[in-house]
Amino acid sequence: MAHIPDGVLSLPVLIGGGALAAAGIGLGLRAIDERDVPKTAILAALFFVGSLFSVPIGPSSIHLLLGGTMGLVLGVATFPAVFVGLLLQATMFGFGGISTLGVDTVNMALPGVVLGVLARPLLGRVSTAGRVAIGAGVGALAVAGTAGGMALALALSSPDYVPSLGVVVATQVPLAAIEAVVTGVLVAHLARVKPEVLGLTAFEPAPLPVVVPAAESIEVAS
Amino acid sequence: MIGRSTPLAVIVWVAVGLASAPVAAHSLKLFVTVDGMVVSGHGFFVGGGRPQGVVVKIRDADGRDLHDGRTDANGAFAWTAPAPAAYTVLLDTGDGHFTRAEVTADRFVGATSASTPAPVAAAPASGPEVAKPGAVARGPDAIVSAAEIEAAVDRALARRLQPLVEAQERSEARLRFADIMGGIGMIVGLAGLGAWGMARRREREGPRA
Repeated sequence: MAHIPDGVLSLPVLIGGGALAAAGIGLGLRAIDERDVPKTAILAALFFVGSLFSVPIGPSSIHLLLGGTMGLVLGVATFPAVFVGLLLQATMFGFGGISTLGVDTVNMALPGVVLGVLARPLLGRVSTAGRVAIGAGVGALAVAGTAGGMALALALSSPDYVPSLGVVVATQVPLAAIEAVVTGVLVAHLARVKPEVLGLTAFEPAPLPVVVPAAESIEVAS
Repeated sequence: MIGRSTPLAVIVWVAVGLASAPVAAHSLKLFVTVDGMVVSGHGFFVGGGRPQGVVVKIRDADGRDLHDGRTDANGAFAWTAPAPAAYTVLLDTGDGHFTRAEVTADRFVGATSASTPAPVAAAPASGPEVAKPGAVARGPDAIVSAAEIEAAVDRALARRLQPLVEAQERSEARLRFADIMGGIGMIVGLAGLGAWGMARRREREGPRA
């Protein structure tokens, strides 16, 4: 659903989307340090697989987007993760299009990044129930943002699309509900099992200076 | 680096996804047949569902719109071509799904010989042929046959092959476990490449600042 194929969008929209995506990917890549590589790759893989399988629901069929989850865990690094997932889906399965990679990347990554950056500081201040609620809200709103971005891209490309945009947004409602549940559960789980990926541990800066110099002193000695 | 169970969850997810019945890439496909001068066909979503009441446009080789209609409840459409030529059929659901199919001029070949000579042949056939004894009964048949048989065979073949072609398109769009695993492997490789690049950069920059 959120994968817009080639031949639908107009050239200015494609170029604009491409430029935005390139900026996002650039920022994301600069933000990734060694410790972020594995989790970025895992979420990219999760996104690649999760948004590949679609389930027919009602008149349309939907698939997970995971934008909210990625935004909360990865922040700006969501851009490269989404881009890699989309690139593989397009080249391996003809899913979406090559020319629309930029627009699709922005549609799927940007809402999650914005919401994730806004919501992350709140996670530390609330109980588990609050975290579920924040995760659910971010998940649902990220879907709404993706639907809005798609609708905008279509409307800017051709006014012919405007009448059917209600359908685009309406089909995303069940997905928003599903994403809300998935993101809520995931966030609560991560906060318990691996709080540092959500920036929740108070002593997070401590391990790095202790561990890394130790490793390097061994290297120098040998 | 997330929960230790996450990679396992991914694998379980993939396995469950592949085990449940209609697993397919979510994309719109278009199937077109030519029968006589009638170009007909239907759109379908791989994995199930037909695009109902969506815009069907047919363009000629110069990009002029010749037909602008909508699909019926089965996602089907039909259009009578003015002449055998190359046409493009475009299907646009308006919500970001779009597909196109090309119809080449040679797909009308059986049709033209069927529709044009048939009436022409019928008229003179009754004239000279009737005069010859023995040919009276078979006359019209014999003249029409070559063209008509070809057209009939064309139509029958198209009808018989349609499910096969559709099945082939559907299987083409199916997600295969090996492909998905290949994609995941590619992501792991990219991560490795990234980590390697970072490690090299740090080595070059010398001891950690």
